[in-house]
Amino acid sequence: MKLTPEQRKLVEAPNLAHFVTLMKDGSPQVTPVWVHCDDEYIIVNTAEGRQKPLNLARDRRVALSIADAADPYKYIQIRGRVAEVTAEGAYDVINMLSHKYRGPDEDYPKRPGEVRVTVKIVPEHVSGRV
Amino acid sequence: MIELSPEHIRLLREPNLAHVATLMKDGRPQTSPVWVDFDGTHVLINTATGRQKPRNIERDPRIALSVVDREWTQRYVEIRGNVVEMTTEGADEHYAMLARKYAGPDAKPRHTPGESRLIVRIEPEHVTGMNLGPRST
Repeated sequence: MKLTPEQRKLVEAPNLAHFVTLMKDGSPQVTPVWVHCDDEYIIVNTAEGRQKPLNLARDRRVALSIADAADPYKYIQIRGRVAEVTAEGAYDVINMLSHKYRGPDEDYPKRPGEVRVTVKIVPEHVSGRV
Repeated sequence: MIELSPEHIRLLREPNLAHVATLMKDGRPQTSPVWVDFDGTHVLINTATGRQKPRNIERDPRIALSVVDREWTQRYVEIRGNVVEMTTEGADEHYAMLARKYAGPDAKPRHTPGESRLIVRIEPEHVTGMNLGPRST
């Protein structure tokens, strides 16, 4: 995992990540997302049918930038590729993220017809100012 | 070019950080946090000559940015568009104005020797977002 301990702290704190995927014509698309990491991957969670997983099915190259909510001069930028998009355990992941960003009592609501997917990202190039 | 709504414009004019995405030479995406504003027609960011962003933009003007409302993080705007101009003209003053907007009236922007500031003008083509209606109190 390419992140330094300081960089990891930024990802593990409830800071929003701005996640970039590529549209069909190769143009970039960026949205704010909840994010976390483990020893191998940067983890994002979305739902089937949305723009992000449609883009990722075509092109696995992604980027993220995360600024410290308490100090916006601290940030990291990551370029990487998606290793896996999976529905397995994905509701548990979005629930974990909901607890992280909204509070320990805030379960993520289960919506009929929504299939959550977890996106696992391998960071390949990391820079910034932490 | 599509027109931005008052809510979009408010997000761009208030001191909310923007995260802008450009394309590397091989088409791979790159993104970083930046200061942003709106001049009535174009979305403006400010960068410096020689950096990755302007090098990417020279090659491919396609750009995207997201701006989250610092007062309510579930409200944001997402813009996709094209850079229509990059210029050093007025860029130092613009950078100083952005420093005051984001860092306070006494902010002194730092200049790196050997770099010139650049204004990047973005024409929005596609705009989406979340919770962009009027705020309920």
